Amino acid sequence: MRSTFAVSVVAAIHYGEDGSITVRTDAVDFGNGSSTTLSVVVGPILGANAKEVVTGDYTLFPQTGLTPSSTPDWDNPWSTATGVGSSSACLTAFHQVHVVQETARAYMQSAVLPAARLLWNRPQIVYDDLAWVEGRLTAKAAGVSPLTHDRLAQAIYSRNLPSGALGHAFFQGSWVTGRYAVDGSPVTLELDGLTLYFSANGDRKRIDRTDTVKPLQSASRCSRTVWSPCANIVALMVDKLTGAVRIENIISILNAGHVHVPELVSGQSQGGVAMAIGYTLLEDMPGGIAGPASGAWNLNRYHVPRLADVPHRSRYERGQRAQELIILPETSEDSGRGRGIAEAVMCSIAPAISNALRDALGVRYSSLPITPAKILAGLRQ
Amino acid sequence: MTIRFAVNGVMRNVDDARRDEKLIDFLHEDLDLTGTKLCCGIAICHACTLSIKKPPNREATPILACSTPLWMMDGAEIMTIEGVAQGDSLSPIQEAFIKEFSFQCGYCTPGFVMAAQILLDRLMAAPRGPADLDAQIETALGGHICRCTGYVRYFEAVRKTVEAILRRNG
Repeated sequence: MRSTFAVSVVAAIHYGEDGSITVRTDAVDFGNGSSTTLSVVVGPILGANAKEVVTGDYTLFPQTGLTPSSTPDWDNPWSTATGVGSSSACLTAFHQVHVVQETARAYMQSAVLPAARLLWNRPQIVYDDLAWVEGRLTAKAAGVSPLTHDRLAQAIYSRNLPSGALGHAFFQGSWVTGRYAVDGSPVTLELDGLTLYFSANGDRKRIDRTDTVKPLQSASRCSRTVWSPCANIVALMVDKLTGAVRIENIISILNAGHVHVPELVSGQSQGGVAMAIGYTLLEDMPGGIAGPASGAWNLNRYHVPRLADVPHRSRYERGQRAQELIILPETSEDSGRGRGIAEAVMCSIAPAISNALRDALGVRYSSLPITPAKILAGLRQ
Repeated sequence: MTIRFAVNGVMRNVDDARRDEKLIDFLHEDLDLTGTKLCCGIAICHACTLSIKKPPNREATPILACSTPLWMMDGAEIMTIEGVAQGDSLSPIQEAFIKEFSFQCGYCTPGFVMAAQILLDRLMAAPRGPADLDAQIETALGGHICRCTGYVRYFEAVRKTVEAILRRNG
């Protein structure tokens, strides 16, 4: 059985002549914030956020030189496994961030480190010695003067060091790892493909992968190996005369791993809460020809939640309706990685609403959506 | 006969033969003002909300461009999303929506901006203080549909903007 969650992702980093960073990705941002996330996650590695993120770049994979196969030969540096790389909202924080960050690390070691060594005249400095302080590159070694992006870019372009890097990564329970000879010495990266760009004549150079560590074979039987659990506590009011249910307050407790952009995580959470309230209480449509195929459905009959249906404060105050999100601290296993939440917050809200209704009315409602008509029918039993 | 009305401060004349055409089609097709979004087309979702002033009313009120015929525009002044910013300088409510990450796909955003702007203008003209602010925001924006964000960030952006302006005005 093949894993439904063998994921292959690709990304490129370009360093402009003015020292500005561009990220290119095959991911498509559909409002879930991928562009923002993929810009800020290069900051800690490259010393500045990406000035531009180009999404939906389908030309990247063909540039890798890799051939995907359902039976990959991992000893062949140009072989990779067939994977999906969809743009679902849960794929950015873990998968797409990984390939962007790992490609950024590859670029640091193949271009920025050699440029810094030359400018400082310290050939013995290694990658782990480097640190960014207020957007300037420094090193642990004594007496080195901090380097601006301007200065680094100048050195990189004048000496024809790589102007960018293209990385490909494959995940199935673990990331495929390889060794790549960049700047004369091999580095280990959680990538299964690496290409370097050179500005001089638009050249690119594919780097051989050696010492490949294969993905976990046992994980090929798992549908998911990374997920974001979320618990929800729901308080509601029921009008026993009309059967109307109003959600008063919600507390969501979420494990999102490392949070790259807090605003995007809470935004996804709030969107998930609204969607869950919708399909639990409001959204109703028959199947078959009377359903969507009838062509007569619109928002006057298919009720999605409006602002008034959702607790719309993010902090509880007495007498107000609120939804509070508690993000658990990341675990040591997360080791700085995000998990990708998409609408994970949504999943346990329907059962929580059903439980709250049972507390309130003594009736167990187990068929969605729990409409006022079903509430009243349950009360008559 | 001619239907005469102002769109973002510019007078427009439309032949009366077009009286039953929808306002949103006129904005899109004749004026190339495509910021007003069509969604349900039946005045439910509020994505196509505009601001209108029409005598004898002096206050701006919201209208739904998908369901408003052109003949009703005669003598009116309307403002679309394209008329909210002054050049490159965004209005406080637009700034707040960006700062608060209020929208994701952005399709419903022009409608939220227009409705929030109308609320803001009304509160500024006759400030009632923030006592029933939550309820006022709910009344102004409660009918709008957003399928991405769950409304919290729209709501908080409007509340913070109103509170900041009330504070500034003492």
